[in-house]
Amino acid sequence: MVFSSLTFLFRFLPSVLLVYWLAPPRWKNGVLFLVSLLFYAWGEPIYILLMLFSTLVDYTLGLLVDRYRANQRLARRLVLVSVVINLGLLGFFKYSDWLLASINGLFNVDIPLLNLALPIGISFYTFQTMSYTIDVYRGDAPVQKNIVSLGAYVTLFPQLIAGPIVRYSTVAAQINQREETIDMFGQGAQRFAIGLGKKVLLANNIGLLFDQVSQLSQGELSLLGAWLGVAAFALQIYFDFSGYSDMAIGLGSMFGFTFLENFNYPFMAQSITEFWRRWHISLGTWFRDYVYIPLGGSRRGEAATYRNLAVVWLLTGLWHGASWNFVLWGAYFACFLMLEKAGLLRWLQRLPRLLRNAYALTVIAFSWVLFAFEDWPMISRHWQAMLGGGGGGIATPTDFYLLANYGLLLIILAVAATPWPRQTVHQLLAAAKHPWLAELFYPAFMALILVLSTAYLVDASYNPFLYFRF
Amino acid sequence: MRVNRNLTAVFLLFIVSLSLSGLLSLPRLFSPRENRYLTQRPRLTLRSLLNGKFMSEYEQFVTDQFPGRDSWVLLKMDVEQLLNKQESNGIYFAQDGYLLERYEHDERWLGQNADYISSFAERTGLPTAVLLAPTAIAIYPEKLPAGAPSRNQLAAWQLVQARLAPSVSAIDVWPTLLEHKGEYIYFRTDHHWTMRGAYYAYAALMQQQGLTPMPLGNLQSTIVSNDFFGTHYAKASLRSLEPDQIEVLQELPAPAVKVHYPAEPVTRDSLFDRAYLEQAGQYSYFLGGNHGVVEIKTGIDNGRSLLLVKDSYAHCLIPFLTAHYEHIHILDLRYYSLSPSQYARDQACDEVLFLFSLAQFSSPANLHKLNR
Repeated sequence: MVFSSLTFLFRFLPSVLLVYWLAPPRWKNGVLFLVSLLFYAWGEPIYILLMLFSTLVDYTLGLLVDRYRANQRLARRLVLVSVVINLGLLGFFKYSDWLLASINGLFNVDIPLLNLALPIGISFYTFQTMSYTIDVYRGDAPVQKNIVSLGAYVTLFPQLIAGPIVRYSTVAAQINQREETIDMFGQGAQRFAIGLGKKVLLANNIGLLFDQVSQLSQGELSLLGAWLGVAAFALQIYFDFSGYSDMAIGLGSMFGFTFLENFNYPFMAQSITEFWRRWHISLGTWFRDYVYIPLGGSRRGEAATYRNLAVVWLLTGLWHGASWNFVLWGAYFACFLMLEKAGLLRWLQRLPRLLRNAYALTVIAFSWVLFAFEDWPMISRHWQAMLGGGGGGIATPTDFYLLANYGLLLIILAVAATPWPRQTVHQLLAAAKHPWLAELFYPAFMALILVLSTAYLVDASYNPFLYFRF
Repeated sequence: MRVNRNLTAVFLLFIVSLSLSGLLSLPRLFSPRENRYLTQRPRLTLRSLLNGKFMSEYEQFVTDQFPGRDSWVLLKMDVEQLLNKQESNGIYFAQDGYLLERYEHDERWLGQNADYISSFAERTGLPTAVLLAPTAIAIYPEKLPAGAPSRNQLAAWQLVQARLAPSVSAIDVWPTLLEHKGEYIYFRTDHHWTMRGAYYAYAALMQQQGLTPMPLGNLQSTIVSNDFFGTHYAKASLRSLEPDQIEVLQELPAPAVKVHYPAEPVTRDSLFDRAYLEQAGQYSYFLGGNHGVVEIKTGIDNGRSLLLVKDSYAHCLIPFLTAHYEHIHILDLRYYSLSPSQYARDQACDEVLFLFSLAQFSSPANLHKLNR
């Protein structure tokens, strides 16, 4: 089930809230575990077993690691078992066909593909269960002796299918003991509504623009059209993904959880290094803490640092989908991160802020082409058009049609991608000195988003789930 | 804090009130605005649960039966207009209240469908004609929003013409439709042409076969409906749109016909079904909508028997053909799955006409069944 559906909003969520509140405190984790399984089973009735298996494995391994902590070698082996099983699951379900197809292509053989459907959210929950065992081993998190509580953590429906990657150490205390308050609920509801609006009103609608541009043929693609397409894609994926994270954080808050932030206005970044500190933060820190630093990070000399960067970014790319374009996408960022580390960043500091921002946005814009298109001819065609070499020249009548249709929306999205609207509203309301103004404004704004999102969901002809490959 | 209390109250009020009104209201069977049957509560079985069919049907059910569904859709269209959107679900908001559907061109299917017809004509040896109706967007491109993309239908028609076997006659209706575009020849809110549009196509068909069409002057014009909202309106429901009229052109008194629907089986004595004028899908007034097989026996005593393979564009053209054939055998391959050539032999048809809209002809259209 996805959050941006009428079934979730008007069937699942009210029922869950009711049951959760009626349940006595010691049953609340059990309720969460159960409804999360239902939530998952709604879209993946069979693969639910896979998730339970992963939970059971790391529950057991966590207990064993804790018990044999004194025996370093054994404890390390147990961690290794967890890593192998989780990556094995992920590898088998997500990457085997890609590997087979690559082997087929490389050696000109014809091994039949497995054609497995990718279990939704597998990239998120395997990373979570794995990090649980590692954190227990490292002493960063306490062991969880109650399997229902660990199950509730792994399957917790707010973050199950599209992140953020909630690490056990950040919620360990809340799993065992948390307080649900009206303040947290109200803030959570508002956050959820904002996320819903980002997804349904902003991302889905600008996604239509990208779709129309990507259907243009070589001869019809112009400079303006190519940039419209890339801007649409960048905004779509940002508002879609950060919208999901907002909804997750908001829902978590309704149930008394505090999740870490996952996005921080990424398009305000002034370098690629900074972009990745603002974009999908939970993934970046996961790779930093469980791959980059264990490999030695930047403490083992220059050569090792670059090697570690390369490893992390190829893996990051591949995490986004089992396809070569995602590997290229990771490699592309690795190059810029290395360049920035090698001195570009210091040189950039001399430029005015606006130029630094323009540099970062341009590099990011070209990167989305690698992300959006799977095959090389499409990628190079779009890049060419972005550089002015498209068959449609500078601009075509179709571009102006698209601009007339989506211009206003593009402006709204561009402004909404900055912290300014939020800051301005906060400042205005704070300056107004009438507390009732804020007490009215925020609920009214939320109601508006809810009403409009519902209208768009009732007439939903386009409401994609973009993370089916993650 | 009071703001959080307000937020909580508004949020819960919103989701609970809509959930309850959805749960407590009776499901609607049919949506007149969309002209379709709405999804009903799916049956829960172990099988539909395991293969996920129950879930997807249930989601469709919740969406279709959402309380106040039509008002929500109209609200969405209001917002879209505020944003200056000029299309919805592939339908352009064109000038003069026209809703024009974007034409998607698929060369593969155009060629493939032409080949199916050519080989059918070859195998049966019957004189065969093909009439492909352009859709409104090709006749009224000047009404489109500036720069609105749509593929070239004339090129599609030329492609088909070039691809058809020389023995098949391609009936060109473009000049006459363009010549009469000032008249009411296409519905503004529906994907069909009007009976008047069909008349000009019929006249072209007759002339290109060396026959004389009934003159327009001999036909009586009657407006049978003033409140027709068609299929395009279902996909792009703007509040500001005016409904279409349905005009019927007919010799009066109406010549006697027997219209036989073997699947039901029932025989009627009119080409028009007034019952549909009281419903949403008013175009079904012509010939009673889509049927796999319809057999018409006219009062003409000339022994000519036509096999007509068609989509719904044919429905308002068929009345004109009844003046020229004793028998008209109509197949709609979307609903007919037996061998069309066997059918033609059994019914002793001696001519074949293929009549489709170009939009339909650019899609699979089930013409592969001609090979059966």
